[in-house]
Amino acid sequence: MSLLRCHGITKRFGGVKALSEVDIEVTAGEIVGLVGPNGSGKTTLLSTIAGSLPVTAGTIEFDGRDITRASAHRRAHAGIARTFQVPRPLGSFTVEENVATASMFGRHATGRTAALERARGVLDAVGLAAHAAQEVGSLTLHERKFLEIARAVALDPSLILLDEVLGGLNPSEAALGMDLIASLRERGMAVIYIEHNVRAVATLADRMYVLNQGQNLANGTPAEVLNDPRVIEAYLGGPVDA
Amino acid sequence: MSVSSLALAQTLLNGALLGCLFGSIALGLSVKWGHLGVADFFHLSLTLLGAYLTYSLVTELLWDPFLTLAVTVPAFFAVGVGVQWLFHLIDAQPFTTLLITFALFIVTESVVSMIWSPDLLNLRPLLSDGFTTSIRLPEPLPQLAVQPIDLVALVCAALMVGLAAYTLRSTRAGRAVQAMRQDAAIAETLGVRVLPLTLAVSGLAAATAAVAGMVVSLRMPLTPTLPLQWIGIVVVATMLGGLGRPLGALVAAVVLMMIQNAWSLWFPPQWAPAVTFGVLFLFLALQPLTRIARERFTSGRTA
Amino acid sequence: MNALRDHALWRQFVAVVGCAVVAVVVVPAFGSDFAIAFGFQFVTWIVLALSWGLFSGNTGYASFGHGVFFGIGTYAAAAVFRHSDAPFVVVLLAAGLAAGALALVVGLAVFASSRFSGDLFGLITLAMAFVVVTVVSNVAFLDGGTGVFVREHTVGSWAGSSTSHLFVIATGLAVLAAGVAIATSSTRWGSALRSIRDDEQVAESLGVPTYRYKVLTFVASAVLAGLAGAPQAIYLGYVEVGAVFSLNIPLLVIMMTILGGITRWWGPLIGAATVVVLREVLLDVGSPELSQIILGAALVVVIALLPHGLSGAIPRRRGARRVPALEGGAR
Repeated sequence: MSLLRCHGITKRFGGVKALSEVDIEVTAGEIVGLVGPNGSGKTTLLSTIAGSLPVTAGTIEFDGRDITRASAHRRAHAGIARTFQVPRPLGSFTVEENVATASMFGRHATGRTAALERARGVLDAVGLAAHAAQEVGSLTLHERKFLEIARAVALDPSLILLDEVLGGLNPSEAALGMDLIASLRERGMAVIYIEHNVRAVATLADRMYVLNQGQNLANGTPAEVLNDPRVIEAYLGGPVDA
Repeated sequence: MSVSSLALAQTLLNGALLGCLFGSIALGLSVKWGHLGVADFFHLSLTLLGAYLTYSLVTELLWDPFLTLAVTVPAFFAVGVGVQWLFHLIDAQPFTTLLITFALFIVTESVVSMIWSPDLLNLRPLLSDGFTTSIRLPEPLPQLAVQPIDLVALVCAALMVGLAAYTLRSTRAGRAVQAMRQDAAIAETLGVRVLPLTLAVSGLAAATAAVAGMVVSLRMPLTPTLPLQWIGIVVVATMLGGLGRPLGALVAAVVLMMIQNAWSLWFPPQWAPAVTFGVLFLFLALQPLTRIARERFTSGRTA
Repeated sequence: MNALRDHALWRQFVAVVGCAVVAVVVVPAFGSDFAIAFGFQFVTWIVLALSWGLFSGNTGYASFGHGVFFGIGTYAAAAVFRHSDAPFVVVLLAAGLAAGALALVVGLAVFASSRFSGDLFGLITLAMAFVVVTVVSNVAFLDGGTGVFVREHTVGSWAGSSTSHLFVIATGLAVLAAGVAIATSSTRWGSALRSIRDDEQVAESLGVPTYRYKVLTFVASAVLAGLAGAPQAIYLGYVEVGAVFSLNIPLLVIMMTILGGITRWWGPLIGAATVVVLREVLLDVGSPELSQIILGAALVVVIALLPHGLSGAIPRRRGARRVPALEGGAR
């Protein structure tokens, strides 16, 4: 049974159609790669699933329930977590307080003390334990990106939406990140994973979706998708990825 | 209660012309709010200050009211630049700028009442008949009359708003201002010199307050609390017209004043100020609907 | 629940109660009439500053409508006094409820759309002030434009018989406000509010029901201000629109909170003390306009030089933590 089922997702900004009739399905515990040229609507799709953006048309079902009109925090409670492409830590909180906020208000809401305890556990898992008491301003880019993941994990989600968490990282940091993403699957979470670097996605993903100009272009196993002539054309026609 | 169509027409006309004055006050607010991100209460105070300066120059130095602009316009330009420079120096957030302009608003009220006294000051008795005798409209509407000063308000509003709208839409500098509002960092890399441009916009906005202030001093008796009476209509017109759209603000001010004046014909006039806010809250409540409508309308074009 | 076990919080609250008890015993017993009246105004300002900080300081949504909630409370109290013989407790509740009801209606509407954050929220709360003033000055039940004499209705009651009693009531309200402020300083509630200030969209994505928190906290803040309006009505004796809804009130409240700083719960408290003393000193200047000018200019200087206020300028014990200056709501 599928965990997430999006059907006919359409999103307009004023007169611009960012998404049109997009379908996507995710089964519990799998990593789904979401790729596409710049401006193909990947992040927009993620935001509509997370509830940050309302859809113009279409339905979103999660865990067998229709959540199309549910607010973002309700989806977080239901088990959907997201990261932001450009990390957005809460600036007046320490690293551990950032993560604890997710535990405090997430799926299994807890009190402050318990939340801080759980936050330290999560920070340990992503390798940020040493920075727990620091203010977020002192973090490097890769630490900020991992903090995004830590916050999402602290919600204890069944689906986690990752928006270019490896972008801008050096190869060794990116390798750490890929291990981290793989470990999410081992913890039973499904992942929708956006990355500009198609190769990184293909390595991790069980299945892939390709978007082009706000529409479904192809989906299937990484091997199927990467050999699809339409996909090759979309990428070569658009900006070529190294 | 029945009201003759003539009285209604005259009331609407008066409302529209008074709306022109408020539209020219809203001009500066709209531009600064929309393009500099500064919701500037102090702009209203500047308008008041402009009115009082005109009053003093006319009554004490016996200047022609229009000649006073030669002093007030450059002076206010400098003030506008100065305030924006302060915001730049302290790297002010929108909320901080709002607080500062609010504080300056209160300060100006006190300064004005210290210098000019809190009493009513009226310039009209000192003006030549040419300013105060009402003019009948030409055929086919000879029963309607307008005050000459209202025509001055109309001309000033049309000139300033028209010029501002044209500059924003069709000149290089205007487009630079628009780009800056979208994203200052990108505009900077595209060669827009952001700081000089913001200073200039702020200065020009303040300069329009000098003109509006002159019209105010000719149009109504002055008290230090006038901005409190204007703030509702001006802010609401700015918001209804769309931030950063001077023409929209002018149209909104004209329509609002026409509604307010017409209201006074049928209902207790002391409720008129609430009408403005009623329109605002109606507008806010209808926001989601208008957005849907706009999406329906425009979707066909680009989809 | 955990907050109840947090000893540091309790210690702070006990200290506040202790100070209040000492003040309630000492000031009426030894203070002159002037000192008692001054004390009453002082604690009223503390209630207003703390309650403004509760919502606007914590969430970054700057409200210019705090004077309206205070004024509504004052007028609700005056109306109950004038139209009934209800005991003071009822008057107090009516004042709080009236302010809370207005905040609930406005909050439910304004927070429904993310567009009305930042300066737009500030202006809407200001617009609310103008609407309320128009309504109050035109509705005869409340005022109708002539002002309301309260003294004749209250002079026989316990609350109305002496300013010391008003001081006791207002001090009680200040303790309540401080209690709420302490509670938000390090509880889930406080974390939710500050996450809204930092980044509302992120807060939502972390499961914080931002709408509910904003509406409820806005209401709580308004109720506290409204409660303070009840003793104020008695203190004024004659209630009149111009004075009750003066724009100076929100200005001073904001000034106190900004001056004191919003990064600690007690920031508004020392801000209130500073401004009240400054105003008292400025009374000697003679002209009210001049003192107004000095206050306004002082606010500009404080904002420019001390973005975190006085309390923010004092380093924390457990390692300094930097907090962004109060910004207009999250985007």
